[in-house]
Amino acid sequence: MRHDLRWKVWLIFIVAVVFAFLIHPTTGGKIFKTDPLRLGLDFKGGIELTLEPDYRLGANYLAQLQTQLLTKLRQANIPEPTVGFIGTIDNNRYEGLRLVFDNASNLERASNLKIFTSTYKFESFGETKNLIFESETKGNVLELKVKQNKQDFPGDALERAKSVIANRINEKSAGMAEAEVRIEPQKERINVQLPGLKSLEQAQEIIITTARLTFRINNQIVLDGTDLTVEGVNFDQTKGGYAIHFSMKGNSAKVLAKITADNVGKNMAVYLDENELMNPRIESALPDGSGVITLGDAPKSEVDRYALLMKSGSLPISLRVIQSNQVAPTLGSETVKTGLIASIIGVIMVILFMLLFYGLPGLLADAALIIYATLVLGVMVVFRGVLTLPGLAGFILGIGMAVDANVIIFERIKDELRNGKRLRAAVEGGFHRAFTAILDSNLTTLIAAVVLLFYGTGPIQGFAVTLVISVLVSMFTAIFVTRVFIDWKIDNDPDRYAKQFGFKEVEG
Amino acid sequence: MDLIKYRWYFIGFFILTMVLSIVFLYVNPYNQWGKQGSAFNLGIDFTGGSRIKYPIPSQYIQEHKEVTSDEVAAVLQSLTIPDFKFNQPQPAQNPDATGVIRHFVLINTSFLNNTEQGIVIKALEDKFGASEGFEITRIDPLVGKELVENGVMAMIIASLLMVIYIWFRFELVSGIAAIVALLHDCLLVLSLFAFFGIEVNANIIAVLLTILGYSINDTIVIFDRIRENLKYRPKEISFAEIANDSILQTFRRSLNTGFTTIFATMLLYILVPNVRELCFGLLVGITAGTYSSIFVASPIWAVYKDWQENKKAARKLANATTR
Repeated sequence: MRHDLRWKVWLIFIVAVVFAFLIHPTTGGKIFKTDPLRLGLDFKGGIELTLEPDYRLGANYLAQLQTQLLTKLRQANIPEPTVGFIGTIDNNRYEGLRLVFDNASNLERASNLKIFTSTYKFESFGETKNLIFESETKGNVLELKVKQNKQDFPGDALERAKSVIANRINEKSAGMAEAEVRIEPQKERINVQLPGLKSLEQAQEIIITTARLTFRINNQIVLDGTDLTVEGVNFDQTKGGYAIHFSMKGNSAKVLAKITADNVGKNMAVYLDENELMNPRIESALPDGSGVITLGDAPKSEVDRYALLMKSGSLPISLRVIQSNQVAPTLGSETVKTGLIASIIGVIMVILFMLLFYGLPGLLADAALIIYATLVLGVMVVFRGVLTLPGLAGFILGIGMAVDANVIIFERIKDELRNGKRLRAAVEGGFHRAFTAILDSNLTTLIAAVVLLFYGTGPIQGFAVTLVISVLVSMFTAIFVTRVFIDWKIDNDPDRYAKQFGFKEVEG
Repeated sequence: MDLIKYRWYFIGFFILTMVLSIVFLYVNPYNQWGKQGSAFNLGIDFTGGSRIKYPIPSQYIQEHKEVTSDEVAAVLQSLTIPDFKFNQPQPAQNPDATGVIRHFVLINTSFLNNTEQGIVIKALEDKFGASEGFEITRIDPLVGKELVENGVMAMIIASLLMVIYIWFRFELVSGIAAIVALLHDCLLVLSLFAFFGIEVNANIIAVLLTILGYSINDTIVIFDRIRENLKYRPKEISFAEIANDSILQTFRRSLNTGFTTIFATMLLYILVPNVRELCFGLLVGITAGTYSSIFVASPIWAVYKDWQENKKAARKLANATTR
């Protein structure tokens, strides 16, 4: 046997075995501490959420804004329009205001006041909010979309929100090693993936609590819940009811101490997003930043719920769900079956086809194909890629390309044999001549796949990742592995195998 | 066999297909020839909204035999959610992995926030009984718009880069011919989806991408043969003949690869019901991809090259006579 062939066969064999060990759940599981191949939501079931900061105004702020704007119109002697909120109710926030004037000319007069221009300084309840207006007029109707400028919020708000959510998930659900919380690059969005979630209710808790908790005295925000810890709920003998114990850390503790000292006897409302949770009276100052809220004779379950809401509302910014996907775990496992059936059918079809049409070389290509599958999955495992359904499509497309490359090569070898070459020279020439076709067709596909990797979102990216890996690996197996196998097989007595490469047409 | 002899017929047929495809993108039976709304049956992936797949508990089925669309619609009608819109609910049934028939209902609505989603699920639970394993997808209209924009952007950039690559490795006209063939395949698939009113969701992007890869691949293999044959071209052989030879030499490969892929996709189409729309797109696209590399890309290349050479020859002749 040729010397280089021997080590090449060994090399392929060793690489394949190592990858097979990495993929196998028991051996690979020991190395990666979890399932070696990470499956996406569509396979495992679970929940995916995309959250975006909510810059819309709460209903009470909008009402105040409405009053301010109407006052300005009145001062300019413009007949008062009827005003309503636009957008559907969502966390007690709305998109903005709809002003219906009695006729279009009054609307025009109002527009000329330039109060509906792009920015607006909004003084309310003792604080200033910078608002961004977006107005659209239709006949006598002016739709004013209102958003708070994101500059009003701390720059690291999103980063902090992300870590709060991540902590919360870790607390709530032990064993969800694959939960993932990340900020989508370039976009101000948080993406939460909770694969393999046992019950949807667990996630529901996380979903409903994407709000910001604030403490308000006379409608004015005095403190938010970022540094809040809810210690627990117990029965308070002296008051005869259940009480929520809480404490503040760091600067918030000092702020709380001062506020409570200044406002003894007043009520301090607790708001979750724009909804009032409770409105307890400050009975005494809280010098060390910790305190107790009692809720009269409310049953324990209700007090527990309030405690949970307080606990979970400690985000520095309110978030709203702009995209969510809940896949039941049972449905996930059905998708696994469907996907598996699909890929197995595909692979068997291809293997049979190669065997039927190309005989011995087809068999060798089939062996190379199995190595292809091992390598692609192995690369996914090593780079901790996530396999999704579109990803599986990319994988199968890759199989197609690997087979296509072999078909091109074998047809070329036949051509060479027809031209009167002996088998060894024909194999040499066939591979050589097929190379440019394979290279060019694979590289164009690779270009497309890489573009998708950068531009795609979610499912498209999953497709692109496996396609990139598949194209690279399939080029390697089709050109190198099949070649080594064929050279190795025909090494001793090449011409004995000529018939099996389709030489008979010419012979006969 | 001389296929390229009929090149003008192929090009004519190609133009006809393209014109029909483009027409169907605007008017088709789905939108009643332009009288009604969108030409596409757009899913919530593009329009934004919520999609609920609610399995009907087996107990309810035992007692009532089936669930009708109107029953579900009545439940939704009774809800007080501002600006709430929903499509006619679609009851359906499917065998699960163990072969048991599962009843479920598909409901597409306007985008629901957390509270509203809770209200809908509660109402369904009250009527049909608590159900395990419902699926909810919701997409903000903004995200749907982004999906389209990103998808289109990716296709355009990928196509441009591929033309540049083919230009570099072959010639510019090859690149353009390949992209024209690709456009033909994608338009055909899109127009058929529109024509039959098949729901267009995020999967369509995966379909178009797969076709993009497949179609270009197929064309490149023929162009590679053409490139090789050009090296040994005697002067009297026209480009049309070169194209013809190259097509015939790669014919067996085109058929083998095409048929295996189509056959495998067909099997999937029959065996796996929930990927049927996706497979339909792939079937059309792959067939079109195999067809278009032979009957669209190659004739365009041959016609252009021969035209260019005739022009050159004519100019030479003109120069010779004036001199």
